[in-house]
Amino acid sequence: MTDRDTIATLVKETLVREAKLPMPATELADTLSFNGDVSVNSLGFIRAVIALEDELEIETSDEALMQARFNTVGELVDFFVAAVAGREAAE
Amino acid sequence: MTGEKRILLPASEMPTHWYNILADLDFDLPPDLPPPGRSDSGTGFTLQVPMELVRQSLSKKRWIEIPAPVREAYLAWRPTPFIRATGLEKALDTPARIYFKYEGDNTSGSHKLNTAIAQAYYYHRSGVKRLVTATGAGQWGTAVAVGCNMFGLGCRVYMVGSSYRAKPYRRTIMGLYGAEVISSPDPRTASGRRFLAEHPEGHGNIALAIAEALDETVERDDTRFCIGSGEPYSILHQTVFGLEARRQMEIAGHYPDIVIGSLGAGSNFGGMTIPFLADNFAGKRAVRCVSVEPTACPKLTRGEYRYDFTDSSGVTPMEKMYTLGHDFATPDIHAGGLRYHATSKLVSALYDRGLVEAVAYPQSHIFESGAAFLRHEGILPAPESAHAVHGAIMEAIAAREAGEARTILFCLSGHGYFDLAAYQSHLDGNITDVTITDAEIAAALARVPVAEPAE
Repeated sequence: MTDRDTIATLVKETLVREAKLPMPATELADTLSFNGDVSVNSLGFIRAVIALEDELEIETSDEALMQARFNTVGELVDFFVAAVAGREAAE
Repeated sequence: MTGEKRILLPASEMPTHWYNILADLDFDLPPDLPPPGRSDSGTGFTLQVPMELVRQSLSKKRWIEIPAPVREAYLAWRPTPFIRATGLEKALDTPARIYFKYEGDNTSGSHKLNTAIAQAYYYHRSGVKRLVTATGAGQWGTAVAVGCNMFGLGCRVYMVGSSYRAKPYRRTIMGLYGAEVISSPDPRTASGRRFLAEHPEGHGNIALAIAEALDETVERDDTRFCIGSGEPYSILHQTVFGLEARRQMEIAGHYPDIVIGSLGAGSNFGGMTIPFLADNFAGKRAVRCVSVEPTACPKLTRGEYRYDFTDSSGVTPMEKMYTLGHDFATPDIHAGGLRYHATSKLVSALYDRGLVEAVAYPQSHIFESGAAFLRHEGILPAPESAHAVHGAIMEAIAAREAGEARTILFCLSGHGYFDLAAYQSHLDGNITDVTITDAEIAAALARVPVAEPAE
């Protein structure tokens, strides 16, 4: 089973790379808010989701993704932790 | 050659997959860019477009399966007729063979339904409860109203004010399908108030109507915006009719020398020509693909290939496309669906590489040809579609002058029975042409921020 820390590291590294954030992934704390602490545009966000789908070998549910609102980095990590758990449960 | 006037396909020959041209291009489309100096994450992130549509816009898979519920819906009117315009050929005394694919024979009256139903399906599957959109001439708004009704979604349509007033029966049909229709500009939206403060007598255009529709998605969690024409997934969905036409052309025993489509944001032109471009790419053919745009909105023939916003608000992601500038004041022509300030990044990239051609004509010529088409073929084209009719007539005349039996194919993308006020103006001699100066275009382009990818 993939642990949360591993997924969190991957999510943060991908977000920094795809959204071109000016800080290293190690400084991207779960508590940081998308409403002021971290400046991400929607295109960078979509690129990060697509890259994470590839790297984690998952296909996110359109419904789960469309209905979610991500306020913090931690909420985004939690979303992918749940998606990976769903894939592993199905295997 | 069959010599038949109308070539119909059985339901079993309706395409099961859309054709994705991105698989066969030897270049990538330029990436979209965020608007300069702006982050979108003021209130956290919600996704605006279903990931399946995002994937379709980026995919390199050549064939993308049409979902079963969408195929089932298509069968209500597809496959559509393919007709030889023998009456027009005779009237023009041309050796050219003129064929047209007719996409107006459905409840919305245009090709727009092909993607509206697909988009409504994907939004519904994503749990979205309500769609908001913008429409120029009313064809896209009607198509979205049909799609929303089919999948149980609420629907609001911002309709460009001049069309709203000129086409009351478009509003009626949208209303019958359960949609609420708002005249744009509307003082209740932030974009509408901003526009009206600057232009108290302004008529607005499709770029403003899009901005007003987008305002709503910021305010309501249950609502998403869907777009009619410019995105690659929208053009992908429209390949269903180009693929049918290619098969019907084969049955007719000819292959087109020239394929023609009218050009707004690009889905009609792309849907018609892209399956034939695939044959060009494969080295099998050398068909000319010709887009026809109004001289009053000449994005390909006089615009600039650069990054610009996709609506008038200046806050959307920027796309690299042929544009006249996102706040270009498009003259109030009757072909409202062709008044968009730019054309899609896909069609723009094809044009930039010389893979497709572009011509522009004034609306007085367009209405002459639209009326002639009615007299000789018995179908009244929408003013947008009459651009393709006129392009075909000009090519047929050129074939006559060259003494060559060229084969011409065009898409009659919609009927004009909601456009009778415009045709009455034609009968009354009141259709006027507008001249756009280079200075007007340059001034609008000067207001577009300069943007290029960092790498």
